[in-house]
Amino acid sequence: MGARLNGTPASSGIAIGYAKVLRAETESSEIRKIDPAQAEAEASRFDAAVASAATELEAIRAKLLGEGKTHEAEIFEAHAFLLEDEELVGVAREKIVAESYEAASAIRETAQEVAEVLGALDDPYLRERSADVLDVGRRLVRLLRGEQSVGAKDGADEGASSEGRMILIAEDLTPSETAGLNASAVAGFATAVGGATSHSAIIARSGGFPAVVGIGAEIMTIRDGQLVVVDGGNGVVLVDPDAAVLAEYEARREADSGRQAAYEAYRDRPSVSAEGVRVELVANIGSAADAKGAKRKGAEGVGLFRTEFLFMGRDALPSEDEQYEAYREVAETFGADAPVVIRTMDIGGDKELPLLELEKEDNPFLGYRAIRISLDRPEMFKTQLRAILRASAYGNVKAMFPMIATLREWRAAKALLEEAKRELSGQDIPFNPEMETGIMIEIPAAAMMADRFAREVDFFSIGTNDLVQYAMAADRMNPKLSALSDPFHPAVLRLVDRVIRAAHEHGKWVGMCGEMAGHPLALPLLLGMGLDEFSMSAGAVSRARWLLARLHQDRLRDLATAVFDADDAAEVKELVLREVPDLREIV
Amino acid sequence: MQKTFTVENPTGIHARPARKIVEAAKAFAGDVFLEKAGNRFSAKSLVKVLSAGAKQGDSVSVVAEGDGAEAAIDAIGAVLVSQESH
Repeated sequence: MGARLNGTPASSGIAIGYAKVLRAETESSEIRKIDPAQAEAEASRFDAAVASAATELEAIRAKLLGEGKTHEAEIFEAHAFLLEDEELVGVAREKIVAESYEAASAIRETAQEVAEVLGALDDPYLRERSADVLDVGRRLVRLLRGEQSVGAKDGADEGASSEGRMILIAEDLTPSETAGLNASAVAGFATAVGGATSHSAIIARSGGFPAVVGIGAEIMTIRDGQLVVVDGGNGVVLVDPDAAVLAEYEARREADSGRQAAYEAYRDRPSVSAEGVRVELVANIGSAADAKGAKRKGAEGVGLFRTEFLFMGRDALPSEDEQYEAYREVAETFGADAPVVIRTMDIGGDKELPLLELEKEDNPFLGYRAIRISLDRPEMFKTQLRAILRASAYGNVKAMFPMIATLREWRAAKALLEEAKRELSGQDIPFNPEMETGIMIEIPAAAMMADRFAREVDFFSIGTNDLVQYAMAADRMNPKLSALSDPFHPAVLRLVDRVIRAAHEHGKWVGMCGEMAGHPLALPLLLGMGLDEFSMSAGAVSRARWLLARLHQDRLRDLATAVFDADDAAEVKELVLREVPDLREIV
Repeated sequence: MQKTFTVENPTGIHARPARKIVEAAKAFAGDVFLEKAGNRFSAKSLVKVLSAGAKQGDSVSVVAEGDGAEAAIDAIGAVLVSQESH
């Protein structure tokens, strides 16, 4: 007879094991005092503990950095920063010197006071930072008592029996405890408190530990040795499940772990279909930093660089040099041959830029945005075009115009680009005169006119997020309309197919940079239609490459036509699943 | 002197921008404060900066006096208006 507990999904995956319940040491709130004559010596002992803690944190940080976990490393960098904080360490030291506190009592009380202040904030993200303060406090208390560090204490001696790995059950785990978890002993964890943005959750995700947090006090009713299933993706914890349920979760766990490893193996392979058709699997990025992460995750280039983030949240427009540096950095990250498609700024819609003093609109998505603004401000636009051109001397950079509806807009934008080229030539500034220039297809009008555009542009990139919203007349921000905002509607697929055919008839390539491009169910359809480039969030690249290697373009052509006759998105997905049954496992 | 900025970061002044603020403040010799809704927080303490709980859209003033005050205020202001996440 099993129990089912629900919490917040913190780190996906299935973990099965025997419970190991960690009861928080009852932290005595008792304040111990020392002989005032000893205060200076106690303060020195405290200073030594702070120094040791800094050394420990630096070691953890270096280890995480060595594993390429930069985000996790930063958490401990922040902890090191707290060690220098007057409000924490300075106040605690003052309690020792002025009030004769024992060092451990001083830091414990101060950390609790600070954590209370942070815990009272109304922002859940900041509230969780109180866990970081308490963690730093506990580290110091532990060092003052002369105990070993959590990270140094390997779980290998406990729990890693033939029975399998254990599931940690705790009121809460500090980031240090989570980072110190030994994967050979611990399968996953479940906690009473915490949220999805807690540092423990982040570390669990990067370490691949399935975890459910925020279950509530109920979780502490679990006893050591009870069989526990943690379904991290769904935020469910099962205690003593019956045999049939357990078998089901075991099967899911096996499938999961095999799949992740299989995807990983495709990170650095070429992007080819089963019969050897080559496509490009590239990433959508918003900054030069994103580019580095995308390359690490296996993207072979950039299909969409959203440059508007360079413009947002600042007092003045970015200069030509500043933009050029950012574009060049991305081009150089991927090397001379990898494609990098830089989209000119797409301000408007949901992305505001107070600097431009645009009027409020009733329908911003149908309003004054992107190329419509750029063409009205030729100096601002040409500054960006010159920066993109200059970066084209350093890699396979391509320029792309967003929100093109008419041939006139495309030609006006292209004319300004030619003007920018002439200016650069006149100044002897290097650029690639053959730089490819294309347009986003995200407005149905442009999709319908794709055959005309295809004569003049070098490429298309289909932006499905907006194309779906405009084709279905369904605001993609409105959750009530999510059934309509589905790229699998046959109407959308017909538009996509029309664009691909138009491009190919004129010998041009065509990509896609909406969320659809990374969707496993869309890949067979788009491959069957002949899409050349798939641009997605970097995290989806390996999986797409794995899937691609299992698909035959030739055998998918009929499917890609058959879906046009489906009634709706649901039927399209059913058709894809019937054709590629293996997909059932991964969607 | 003081200048007022609007927080642009979608997740507010969380750990990373808070650290950048403290780093900028520590580079300045004198006192630097953030003021939000009438409350004053030392910009030299990570804990205090986090306690300000500044969210996107909040108006935050940066206050400092003396040599280099303007540079310190501008450096902190740049973090407040930055969109950079994580």
